[in-house]
This record gives sequence, structure tokens and C-alpha cells, in this order.
Amino acid sequence: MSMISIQDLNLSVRTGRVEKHILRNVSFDLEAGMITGVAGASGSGKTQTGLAIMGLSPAGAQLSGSIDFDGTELVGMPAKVHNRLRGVQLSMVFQDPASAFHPMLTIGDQMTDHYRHHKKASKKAALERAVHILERTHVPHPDEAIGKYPHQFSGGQLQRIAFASAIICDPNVLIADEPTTALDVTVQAGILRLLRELCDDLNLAVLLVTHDFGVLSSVADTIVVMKNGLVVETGDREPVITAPKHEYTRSLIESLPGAEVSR
Amino acid sequence: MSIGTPKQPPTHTTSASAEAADRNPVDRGVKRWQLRFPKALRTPLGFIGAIILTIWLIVALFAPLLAPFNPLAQDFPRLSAPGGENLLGTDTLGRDVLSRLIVAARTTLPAAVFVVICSAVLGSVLGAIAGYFGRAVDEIIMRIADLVFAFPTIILAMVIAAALGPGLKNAIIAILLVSWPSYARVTRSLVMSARNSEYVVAGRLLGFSAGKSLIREISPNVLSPVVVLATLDVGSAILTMAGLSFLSLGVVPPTPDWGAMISEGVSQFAAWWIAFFPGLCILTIVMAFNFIGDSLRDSLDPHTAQEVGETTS
Amino acid sequence: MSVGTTDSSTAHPPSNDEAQRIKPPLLPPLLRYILIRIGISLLLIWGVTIVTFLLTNLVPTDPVAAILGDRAAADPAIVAATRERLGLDQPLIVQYFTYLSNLLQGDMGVSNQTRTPVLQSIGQVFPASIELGIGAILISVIIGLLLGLASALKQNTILDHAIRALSLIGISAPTFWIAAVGYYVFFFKLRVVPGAGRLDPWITPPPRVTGLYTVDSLLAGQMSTFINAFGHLILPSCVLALFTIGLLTRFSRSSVLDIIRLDYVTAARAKGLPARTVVFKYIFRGALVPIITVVGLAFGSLLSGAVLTETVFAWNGLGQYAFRGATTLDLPVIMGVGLVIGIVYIIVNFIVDLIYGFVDPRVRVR
Repeated sequence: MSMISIQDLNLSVRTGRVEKHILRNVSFDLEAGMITGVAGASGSGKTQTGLAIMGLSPAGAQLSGSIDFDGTELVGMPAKVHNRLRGVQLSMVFQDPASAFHPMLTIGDQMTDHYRHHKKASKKAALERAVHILERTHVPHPDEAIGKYPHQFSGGQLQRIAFASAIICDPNVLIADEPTTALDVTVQAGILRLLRELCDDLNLAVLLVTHDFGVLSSVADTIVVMKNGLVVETGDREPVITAPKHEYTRSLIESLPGAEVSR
Repeated sequence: MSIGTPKQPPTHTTSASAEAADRNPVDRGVKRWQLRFPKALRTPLGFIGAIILTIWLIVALFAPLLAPFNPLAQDFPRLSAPGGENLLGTDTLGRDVLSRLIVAARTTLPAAVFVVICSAVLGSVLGAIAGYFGRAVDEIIMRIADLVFAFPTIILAMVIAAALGPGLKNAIIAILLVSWPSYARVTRSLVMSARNSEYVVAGRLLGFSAGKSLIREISPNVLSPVVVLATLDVGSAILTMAGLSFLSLGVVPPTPDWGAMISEGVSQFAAWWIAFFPGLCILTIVMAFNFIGDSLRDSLDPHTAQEVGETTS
Repeated sequence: MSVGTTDSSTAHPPSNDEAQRIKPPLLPPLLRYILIRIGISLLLIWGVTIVTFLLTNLVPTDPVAAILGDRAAADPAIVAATRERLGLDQPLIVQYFTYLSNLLQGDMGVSNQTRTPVLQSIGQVFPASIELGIGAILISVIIGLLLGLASALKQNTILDHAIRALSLIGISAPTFWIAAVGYYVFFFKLRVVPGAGRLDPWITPPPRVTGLYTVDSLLAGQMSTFINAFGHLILPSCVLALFTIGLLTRFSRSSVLDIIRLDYVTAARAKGLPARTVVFKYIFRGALVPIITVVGLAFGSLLSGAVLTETVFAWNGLGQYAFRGATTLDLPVIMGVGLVIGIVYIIVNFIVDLIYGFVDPRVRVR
């Protein structure tokens, strides 16, 4: 059974008299131990799909349809109940690691505050676990890292810390919103390998949001292509890449440099 | 160009089709006054501000017709309470308070607008020069600006006005000297970011001279924030001017002036009306400018609005 | 499977680009920052002395005539002698150095009216203004921050619109007028606050230690004097705070709005932290840094406000001293007050910069 099953998800935002449809009848599934890649241009609704799962849709947004998380309906769930899932079972990594951490709080503090809140752990136990998890995501000198501030790290390292913070509570679902876009090309591959590794080892259901089809072709198991809030194509990686059915998918693939696909 | 629409590079929307249709909310079912009224002022506060300001402009313009009595004539019993023949009472010398209030609008309003226009022009020109040429010129101008910022506004204005001697002209000079640096700062930073933008560099490559590229290419970007800053600044100019008059460093008696009237009223607590009504005049007119300026600022793009800042008082 | 059971030795080591590239700086960053700030503040204070010097010396009014009076000023010999005695026949630059060395020795000139040394008078009245200023800044910071935070968190609601309109009105009212109205309503009509001055007339001031009556009375253990001084402080500091409350409310609102949009706030919410934690630990802390810098500016407008309002409350501070000086056109007094307020303002902003340095780790640690 799917970890997350999205059925006919609609999202619209009303500003004044104008209603803007951001998601239209979006349906797809996330499986445990699999990376589902969502591709599309900016404004296609791919990020909003991830935020909808997290229950972080913008203020005033109207959500309808269904997001089934392991038997629990997330659409219409009271914010307080959703808050008990966030960070524990549903977690998220953001695009720009430099802005996803509070500049004035230490890494250790920001990695553990939700762990301490959700798991009622002591500060000491939480920090020990943080060190352990940082090792797991290959951050050098984890015991020093927890005492440092975000500006003392490079982007790639911060993103590894962000992944550590996301998995510290042992979640089932990880939403990675463009996790490599803001990074140097040289460190992107390392982050994607880490994502794949965490997905396999922890049996995570991963939603990888990206505009970069190249990223998807290297790590995603299934691919969802979105345009203007609509899902235009869904399928396993190989068929979608080798024999795209929809013209938009084809144009995305053709726009890849060299139009060649690794493996 | 209009105030409300700062010049920006056109934005390219990739997923245009769905959004573009929704972008234009103004076209349908809008009342006619909305179309005539500048878009930036169509907020409740901007609208209230514009109405108050219009009323004050009418008062200032037709002051001689509106004032019931001669503002200088000491014709009435001293300190008579509001109501009766003198609608807002009389002052310590038996002058009609209402007439003095109305006539005072004629000095305050034009003087404040004048001083703000002067300091906006002076500050923007200096800021543009500093921002465009950089190096030594920039250093000199901005260090002087820093020095002015090292004083609280009214304190420096007080010191200058005291040195020059009381009087409206000297008060205006004092306010001018303390208020140009904020324009210089805003203009400088806008010019510095604009001069490196592609279209200005392209202009230079085409052989435009420094002056030409400053005026033709950069000024449209700088104009709207400066206008917003100036609108907010009229309010603080009126407050500073009133403060100087309160300290007897502004308008010289017997010319009617709101700040001086409050100063007179403070020593006459039983006759509350002498100080109360001029303060109300200052409050409403400054409020009008702040409401309008605030609405205009909100219509700027966020980055530019940040340059104009929240602390322009 | 639980996290961390896999052997991390199979991990790929981070690439060289990710390794930290930090060189040890010459001085510890915080010390360096403080030294630079001290240097800038000293330069500004020096600049302030130039401004007051130029204004006293380049003005059309003849200081000699002001000192001598009309009779003696009519005699050229006396005028020349006085000019020489005052050093006015020296070149401007020499005069400036005389002025500066006098200042450094604590000589700010003598009041034309009372013939008392300006520095001595300022020393007497200064604590009164500081007491008022501290009271007002505490009130305005607390209320301003809370209003701004509430306004931003409830953006575009009735509450937000009301707070925005009120804060705009707050910065539109002339402080000296609010002072008069407040005094009239709360003392003259309602009698809920004590009258003018820093203490009721029949109460003797506490022995002077700091010059702040509230502090000194506590130090002397005079509880009734403290209550009286505190009561007298309430209305003036509230009135004075009104403008800065408006200022700080507006600034903290926009500062919080800037922060709310940032990723780290969404990230904090995505961690399932309670709303209270997100607001106070993440949003408020982030917004505080820019707000701190504005508190210094706010203190400047408080000082300006004090100059204009103290007279209304017969508050024997710097403001009332300046008011008397201004109405009698007593130039040494006005310049002295301008100089002192300018220096205090620079020092306050220096302290604000220091706090900023301690609060923001990007300044503190490299």
C-alpha cells in the first residue's frame, strides 16, 4: 500500500475577487523506499503539492480532494493534529539551506528543538542523537558542528545538516523541495546520493520536487510531470524518459544538455 | 510617469496562461471615482488622507474669505471661551483663535511643501552625484550626511535656527539643512544599483555622457521613491517647524502660527482652547501627509520600499 | 529500520568544496567590531564639535555685542579689546582648537543670561532628562514591539488596520501638544496624576547619587519619595513614548513581515513546533536584530521630544534648560545642549551597535 496517496487534490487561493487555481485534480502516490520526482516549471504547482502534504498551504488557500497518509486523511485535518505529524512523520528539506536555518540559533538547537518537543527528550539526549544523525549524513566533526551557527558552514554542508534535522525524528515521508538547486554543481551529486541512501536505508517515501529533469533522471524511481497545476504525465522513470507520452515531457527532456540520459 | 508604478524591468512569467487571465482585476464593475483616483491612494487610509489634505488646501487657498475676523486685531474680550461670537474662543490678547488658525495654514503649508521640495532636489542631486561618481565625491557628501544624522533632527534644526536667529526664513534654512541627507542616501543607493544595471551600461556603451545617462536612464527609477519620501517628509517638516515655533525660533509674532499658539496656550491652562485647536490642525495635516505617503510607499515594489524605510521621521 | 544502524564508514567523504575554508583573523571578530565602532563614534563626536563651533562662529549675530551690551559695543576700543580677550582676532582654525581644548577641559562657555557655566547647569539638569528618557524608551519598546508583532501576525485584519492607523496618528501628533493635552486632561481635569515637576513641592529630593530621583530614593530607602517620584514620571514618559511607540510599532511590523516570509520560518513550522515557539523563538528573534538598530534612532526622537515637552511638565531637565535658552536666544546654552544631545545620541547608538554585535552571531563569531 502506498505511504501517501493523493487523489483529486485541488488548491485555489482567493485574492479579492480573483480566484487562482494552483492545483487541479492532482493525483499520484508516494511509496515507502521510493523517490517520486515531481518535475515542472516554476508556478506549475509542484512546490504547493509538497506544502499541502505538510499542511503548510498559504493563508486563505482552499484545499479539496484527498491526501491519504497511511490511512489518515490529511486534507481538512485540524492544524493542531497536523502539527503532531509535522517534523515527526512528515518532514521537509528546503531549497536554499542558507535561508532555511535561523542565523542566530546554533545548529544543535535547530536540529533538536522539534525532537525534544515531539519525543519529550532531554537536551543532552537530543544533542547526542543530533551528533549521531550528523554522522549519518556525513557532516564532518559533528560534535563541533552542533555548537556552531549556520553562517559557519558551506551550502552543501548546511544541506546535509538540513537532511539530518529532517530525519532526526525517524519520519516516514520526506519532502525535498529543490534540495540541490541553490548548491554548487560540484556538491549536487553528493546531496542526491545522500537522498538516495537515506531513502533506501530508512525506507522513506520521498517526494523530490525539482525543475531539473536531469536530477530526476538520476535518482527518481517514479516521475510526475506537472504543468499549470495539472499532472500531465505519471510513470516509472524508464518509460517516462525513454518514451514520453506527453509533448510537454518531451520538450523538458529535449531541453536537457546533450539530451542524453545517464543510465 | 505616475507615482504609483515604479519602473521595473518587465517580468517574464513562465506559466502565463492560467495566471495572466486573472491578473487584471480592475477592469470589471469598478466605480468611476476609482478610475479617476490614483490607484496608489485607493486604500482607506490613502483616501482619508487625500480628503483631509484637499480640505486643508481649500482652507489655505481661501483663507482670507474663510477667516471670520482679522487674525491680528485685538478686538475681543481676552480669553473668552469657544462658542458665541468667537467660535473657537479668543487668546490672551483678545484675538480670534479660529481666524488665526485659518490664516496660519497659509504660512505653514506652503513653507513645508517648499522646504521639502528644496531638500528633495538638493538631497537627490547630491546623492546622485555621490552614487554615480563614487570615490572621493561620494565620501565627502556621505560623511557630511552622516554628521547630520549624528544629531536628532529637531536638535540640529534648533541649533541652526538659534544661530541664524528667529524667523520663518531661517527656520526653513534650518529644516532644509537637516532634511536633505535622507534623500541623498536613498538616491545614492538607487543610483548605485541602477548604474550597474544592464540598460544603463548599454547606454554608456552607446556613448551617452555621464550627465545624459544619469538623467535619461536612472532618474525614472529614482523619482518614485523620492516622491514617496517627500510626501512622508512634509509631515515631519511641519512637525519640526511647529517645534521651532514652539521654541520661539520659528515664525515671529504677531504672524499667526500653530506652534507659537500652542506655546502661548501652554501657560494658560484654564484657557485650553488656545493650545488645543492649533495642535489639532497640526495633527490632522501631518496625518494626511503620512496616510498618503504610507499608501504610496506600499505601492512601491518591496525592495525600493525598504530603501525608503519606516523611520523617515 | 532506525536511523544510524547502517555503518557510516561506507559513506562518501564530503568533497573538498564543502570543507570549511576559514582563516584565523588578526583580531577576534567581536573585538575588531567594537574597535571599529568606537573609532566611528569618536569621529562623529569630533564632527559634532565642528558643527557646533561653526554655528557659533559663522553666524551673523556678533557674539561680542551680545556679551558687552549696546553701550559698550558702541566703543570700538572696548570691542577690539574684548575680541582679543575672546581670541576672536585669531584665524578660525586657531579659534577651533581653543574651543576644542576648552571643551576637553569641560568649558562649554557661560550662559549670556544667568552667567553660570553651561556645563555646570547641564550637569544639574541632565539626570532628570535621562530618567525621563529611560522611562519613555522602556514603555515604547515594550508596547511598540508587542503592537508591531500583533499587527504583523494578524496582517490585513481589522486589528492590523487599526494598529497601523493608530501608529500613523501617533507619529503625526506634535509631542509638546500631546503633553499639554495629557496634562490638562489627566491632571487638571481628572487629577489622576500628580502635578508638574519631578516631586511634589513639599517633598525634599533624595540625597544625590545618580541624580535619578527614583533610583536615589530607593538607594536611600525612602519608599514614599520613590512612589512620589515614580508617580510624577508616569505621565511625562507616557506622553514622550507616544511618538516612539508609533515609530517602533511601524518598524517592528514591517520587520516581522519580512521575517515571516523567510524559509526558516516555514522550516520551523514544518518541524511541527508549537506556534508559540515559532513566533517567539524564530520570528521574533529574527525581527529583533533590525529593531534593535532602530531603538537608537528612537532614542534620538525621544531626546528631541524631551526638549519640547519638559517645559509643559515643568520637568527641570535638559529640555527645559534648552527651552529657556532658545526663548532668550542664549547661544552658548543652545550650543551646549545641542553638543551634549549629539554626543549622547552617538553614545546610545554605539551601545545599540554593541548589543547588535552580541546578539547576532554573524558579527560575533566567524
